[in-house]
Amino acid sequence: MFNVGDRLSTIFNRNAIRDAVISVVGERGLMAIERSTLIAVGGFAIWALVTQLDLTVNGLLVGSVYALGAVGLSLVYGNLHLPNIAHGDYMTLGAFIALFVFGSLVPEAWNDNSVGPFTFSYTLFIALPIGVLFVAVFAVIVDQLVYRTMRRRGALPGVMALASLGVAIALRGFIQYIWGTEVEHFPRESKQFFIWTVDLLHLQDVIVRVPPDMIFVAVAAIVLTFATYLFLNMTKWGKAMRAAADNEDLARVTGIDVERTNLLTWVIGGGMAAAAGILFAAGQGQLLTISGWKILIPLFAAVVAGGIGNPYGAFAGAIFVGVIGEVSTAWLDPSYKPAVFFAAIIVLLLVRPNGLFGQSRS
Amino acid sequence: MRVAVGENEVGENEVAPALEIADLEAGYGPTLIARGISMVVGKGEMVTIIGPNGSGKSTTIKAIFGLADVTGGSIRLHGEDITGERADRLIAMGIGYVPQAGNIFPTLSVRENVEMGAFTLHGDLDARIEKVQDLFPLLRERWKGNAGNLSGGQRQMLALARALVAEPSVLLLDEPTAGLAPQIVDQVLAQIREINRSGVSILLVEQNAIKALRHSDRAYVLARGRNFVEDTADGLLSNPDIGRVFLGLSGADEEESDV
Amino acid sequence: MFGEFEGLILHIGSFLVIAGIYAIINVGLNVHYGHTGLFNIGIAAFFALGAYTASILVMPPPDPNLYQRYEWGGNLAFTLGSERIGFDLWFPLVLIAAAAVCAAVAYLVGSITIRLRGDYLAITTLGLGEAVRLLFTNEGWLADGTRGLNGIPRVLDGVVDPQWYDFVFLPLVLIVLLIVYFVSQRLAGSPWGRVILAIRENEDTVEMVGKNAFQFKLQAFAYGAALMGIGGALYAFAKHSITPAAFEPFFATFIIWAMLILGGSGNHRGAILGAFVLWAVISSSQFLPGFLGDPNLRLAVIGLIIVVVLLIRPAGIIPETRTRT
Repeated sequence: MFNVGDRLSTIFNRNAIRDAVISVVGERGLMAIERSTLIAVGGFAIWALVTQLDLTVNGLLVGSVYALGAVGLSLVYGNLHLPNIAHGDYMTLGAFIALFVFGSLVPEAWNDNSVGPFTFSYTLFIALPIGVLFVAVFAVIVDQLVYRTMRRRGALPGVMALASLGVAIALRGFIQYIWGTEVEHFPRESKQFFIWTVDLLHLQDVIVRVPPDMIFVAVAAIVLTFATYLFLNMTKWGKAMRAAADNEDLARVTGIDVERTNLLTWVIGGGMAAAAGILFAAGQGQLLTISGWKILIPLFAAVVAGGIGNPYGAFAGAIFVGVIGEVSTAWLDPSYKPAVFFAAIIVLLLVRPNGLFGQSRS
Repeated sequence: MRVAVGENEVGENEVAPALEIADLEAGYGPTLIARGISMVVGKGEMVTIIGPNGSGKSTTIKAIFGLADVTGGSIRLHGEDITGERADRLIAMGIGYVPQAGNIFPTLSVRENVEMGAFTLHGDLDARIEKVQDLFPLLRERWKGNAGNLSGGQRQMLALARALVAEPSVLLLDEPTAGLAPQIVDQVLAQIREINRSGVSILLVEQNAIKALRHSDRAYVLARGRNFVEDTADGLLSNPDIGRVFLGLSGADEEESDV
Repeated sequence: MFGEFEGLILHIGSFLVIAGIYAIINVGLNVHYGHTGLFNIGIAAFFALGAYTASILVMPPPDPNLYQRYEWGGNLAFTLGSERIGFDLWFPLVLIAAAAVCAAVAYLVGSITIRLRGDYLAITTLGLGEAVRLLFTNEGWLADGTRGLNGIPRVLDGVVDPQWYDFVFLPLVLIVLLIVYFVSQRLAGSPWGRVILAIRENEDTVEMVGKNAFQFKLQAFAYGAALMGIGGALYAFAKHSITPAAFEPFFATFIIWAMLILGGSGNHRGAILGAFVLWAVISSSQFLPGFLGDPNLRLAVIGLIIVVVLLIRPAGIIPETRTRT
């Protein structure tokens, strides 16, 4: 009857494409086509990355900020089967808590002495733990009030995701009610960019300009992700969290307190979100209430690229997404970045639905 | 009218059996499956539950670990009432459970799987883990690899190892041979009997009824959520009526059943 | 004409028009989520596509003196011959075109994502909503970018004083709503609709009786998107002008979700009631004194409505009546 959709999805189905191509050019031909496509795509990618070295480097740095958000998002996604739509707003909440620390909690003069080559002062190191703690506690409270009740009721993942949409909207409303919708700025002192001139194969000089803050943010992202890795793999409760994510029923009959691993997931996910939000705002130099919603798209792109529920995959996925987003601005208007992420999601789902690293879970 | 049954005759001095289930009623939500099941596992015994689908075999075991809703009856471990106890308490009291499907953590390493079995325990685990490794040399070879990469038989071994690391006195096994190749079925059952001989009382639910009976001391046959027949394993194997109805034996035919 | 009540009556007119349009979109969302279980958080994409498709199909060529630059979009209506058949006949065709464009986009996106895990659709539609808005923001030749399209021609224009136009347009909206309601209701009761409901309950059993669940889900996704497109088209005519900013997630996605959950997901009457009730609350809350009228607090309330209704009364105001099997 209506099989247009079937046809379309056949067109988008890898195996079907394969069969069709084989019937025309044979197995060998297909291999040749595959190889040359790979070489062409890879060659283009390398060419683009090298000629746009400035953008590539900045993409790596932006990607590491995405990574902070994506690791937490992926962890919650994998452990609680919840694509937490409020994750971006948890990031925004963390950033506004930091703003509160700068503005009201510490003496104003403390914000003036910037650290080394960076634009921020050491008050960032006061704001960071406060923001992380606040959002971690907030995430746990929301879990207890909303998601736990729904889990007990055996709510479907879709309903939970919908609830997280509600949480996202409500949270943004309250943030805007308290702080307004104006652009906010963290206290900062202007600093010189790091500038390197790279002699590319003696052919051309490429200038790489990097804001110092971004280096700090990237290092912080790597440290925090590594700390998460250590926690998940080296500690008893970290392993229990992974076990519960793997097989919740079995974890329960093994005596693991699954409610507790759920809470831990929120503590880490929420804390990482806050750190991401604060560092992102520090790196960008500005803070908008809407940015939590906007960043969801690259974050989900990173999670899909890394394979859902795989936090380290999400880290790599975030770097990938960050580089693609920045390098695309060589040809596209920067405001098109969300569309680039959207396209990346679509292409990934078509080509590698289990993520770039293709570790499929049954 | 409690009767203590076991390999070793229990005399007048009342020693409570390892596991005692009395008039158990259990099910899932409004659906009642077990409608008054009673059974006893003596110390050091290996007891098999057989019966058709929906007769309450798995439900009985699941009810002990809170995976089915208990609406009546009682469950006692060494004479102590454990009805409705939490899983971590049960493990601490010395009862282990290997569910049927999904009984390993596939993305954890073999080692981590075994460690999870000792999650609720405190103190030094190295000695216990060493012991389990000795019991399953095959697992030792794949110690650091992902459990998801193990073969079906190896997965069952790992599931057993995970339960055994807590050193239970009673072990509940829900169809440990489901989906395994026939040669491996015997291997796994023999290994289970080995564990039993080392002093662990075992309650086993099995589809491979004949093979399981050959390794067991006694068996309960369930039907429609109630006890149907209870006998020694040899007795059941030689009972022509039971053989035809529940074990799929027709005459001298000894094909394994698929009830 | 009505003295001191004139302001109030005008307000009621515009309230009913917008609520009716939201109701149409909400029936579409109910087809997606309530009936098929598809989690679409990019309603804005279809809302905007419908509105822009309709507007582009009726806009006159741009006036160079006004810095308008929608050369392509502005010539489309003329090229297609809208003037020859007259606007009142052109109008229903425009609605159908808006529906068709949305259905086509839904088919395309759906055929990639619906076959995969359910939550991938949420992620993709989230991106789609942003991507569509960006398209109309950046591509000036299509619809004049951020300035948007102004002075969109309207059906039955000039029949009454422009300030009373809502009362001319309202019957049209209600007629479309009724048609959408009856068609959707009939579809839900048809064999097709029963398969859809069965898919929501348990996809595997549907596959077992030999139905291609993916195909049904895809059709439901396209049908719901078409309804959203019709709503978008009517919205453009009601507002007389559109800009990309009108399709920010708050008014174009979030509110509609709250309407559905409040009214009762799973039945179209609930969806329609939810749209009218919530829009009444939102559009009157701006008259509330002090902090109660704060638009940011309104945003928070929208979110809280979704969460609280899901927790306390998951079935909404009018619960779905489930047919027993």
